[in-house]
Amino acid sequence: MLNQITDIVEPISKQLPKFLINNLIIVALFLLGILLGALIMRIFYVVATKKEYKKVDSAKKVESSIIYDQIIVPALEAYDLEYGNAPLKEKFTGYKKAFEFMLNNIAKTYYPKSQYPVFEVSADELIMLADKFAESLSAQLKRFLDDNFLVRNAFKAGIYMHNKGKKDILSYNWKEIKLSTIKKLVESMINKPEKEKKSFWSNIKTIPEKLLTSFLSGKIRELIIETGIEIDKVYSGKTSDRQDITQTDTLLEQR
Amino acid sequence: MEKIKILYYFLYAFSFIVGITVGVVIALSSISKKIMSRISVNTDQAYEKIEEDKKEHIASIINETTNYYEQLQAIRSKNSRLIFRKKKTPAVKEVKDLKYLVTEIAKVFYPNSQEPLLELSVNEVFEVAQRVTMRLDQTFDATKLTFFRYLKLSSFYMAFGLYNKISAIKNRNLIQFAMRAINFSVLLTTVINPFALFRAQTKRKANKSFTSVLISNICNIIGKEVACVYSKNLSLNDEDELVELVETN
Repeated sequence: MLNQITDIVEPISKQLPKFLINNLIIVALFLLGILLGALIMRIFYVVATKKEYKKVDSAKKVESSIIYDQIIVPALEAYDLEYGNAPLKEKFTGYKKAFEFMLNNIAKTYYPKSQYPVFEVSADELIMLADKFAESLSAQLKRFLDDNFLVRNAFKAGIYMHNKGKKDILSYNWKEIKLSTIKKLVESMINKPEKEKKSFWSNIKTIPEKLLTSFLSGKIRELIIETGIEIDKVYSGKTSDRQDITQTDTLLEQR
Repeated sequence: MEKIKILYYFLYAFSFIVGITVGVVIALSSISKKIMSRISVNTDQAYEKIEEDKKEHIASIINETTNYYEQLQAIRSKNSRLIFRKKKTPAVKEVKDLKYLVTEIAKVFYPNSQEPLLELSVNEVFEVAQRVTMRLDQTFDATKLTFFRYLKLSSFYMAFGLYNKISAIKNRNLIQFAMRAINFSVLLTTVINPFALFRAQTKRKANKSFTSVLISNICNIIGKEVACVYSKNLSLNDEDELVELVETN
């Protein structure tokens, strides 16, 4: 019996140091791997930060007038045809449709071979676009709300009517009005139920709202053109050119 | 005997490769820590102007969101090591994601408002837009990787598509069975061999520390930026500060 046990245990006891050595090699290789991995990553990062990359322009050369005539104008015509006389709420849907149409078609025109033409923009171009869009929108709003006497006062009257009796009005300057107030104002304009009988005074009271509604309706048409031109700039790679900011205004004025 | 030798050679190679990936993850973790601290420098300057009691409240909200995402990550990594049980969907009772973070921080500054997120004026929205673009620009600068700036979104989209395809393949029954078998054999070696346990624990800790660095820093930066926006600490508004700036120049 003892001999039998010895026969089993002896080879194992002989193997044990070998087992230990093998596992120590495994651990040593693992630790060596950690050092090597960390070193590789560090070297890779240092090399990547030292190298200056330049923007690669792979977009097809297309004239801006072609984009304007073949994509932006048809989008605007389709919008006029379907949503020209529609209520304000539906006009926003029309804008969304026009935006999608222009985005897909402009991207396809510049990147016909790409699998995902819409995503052929870099993060840098998007930052530039967001920056310019905020600048342009601020300028547009200033032009329509500050420089136009009728719209300026209609806007103030609309805010007054909306906030009548409320104490939280601080200013009638559109720049200082809170988003919550603007949201409520736009919601009341969009969701207002039609009254059957209208008195003279109730008609007078709705003038500011009507003026603002007509202003917004007109603005959506301009916004479609503006959006189209900005999309064109993004995909043509002109976003980095600061001089192009005037191009939108010139085209809008021509229109 | 020859077979055992081959097995050991395989284990040597496997340990070395796992070591390299762990090393890469550790280096990535320290690099992202550095980058995040570079990004948060500007945020911290504006954030310091907020009152102390509000800062404490904001810190607790940021903590809640960080914990939520860390819990989600823990469940996700647990699900990737399935052996016998069925795949569990993330079971975090209360959703405390980034949307929750933004809304709760806005509530700190406007507790009585029905829509605290809309308590900004038109002008402030333009300032926010400017600040966001500026901060994104600074973020790209902080990484010091210029190619990141010019990388097209289509590359991300393609990578995402590839990831989805791999996930679809991984969800097939045969692959699931194979994965479970591999996980089982790894578990067995881990239980039997203390050296394998050391390797598995190191790998798990490195992964956890990397995701934790990313999650906590991203939540912290977003939370503090939102706090700066709603506390109206967007730009140099204080007269003293402007005077100081003019004098120093």
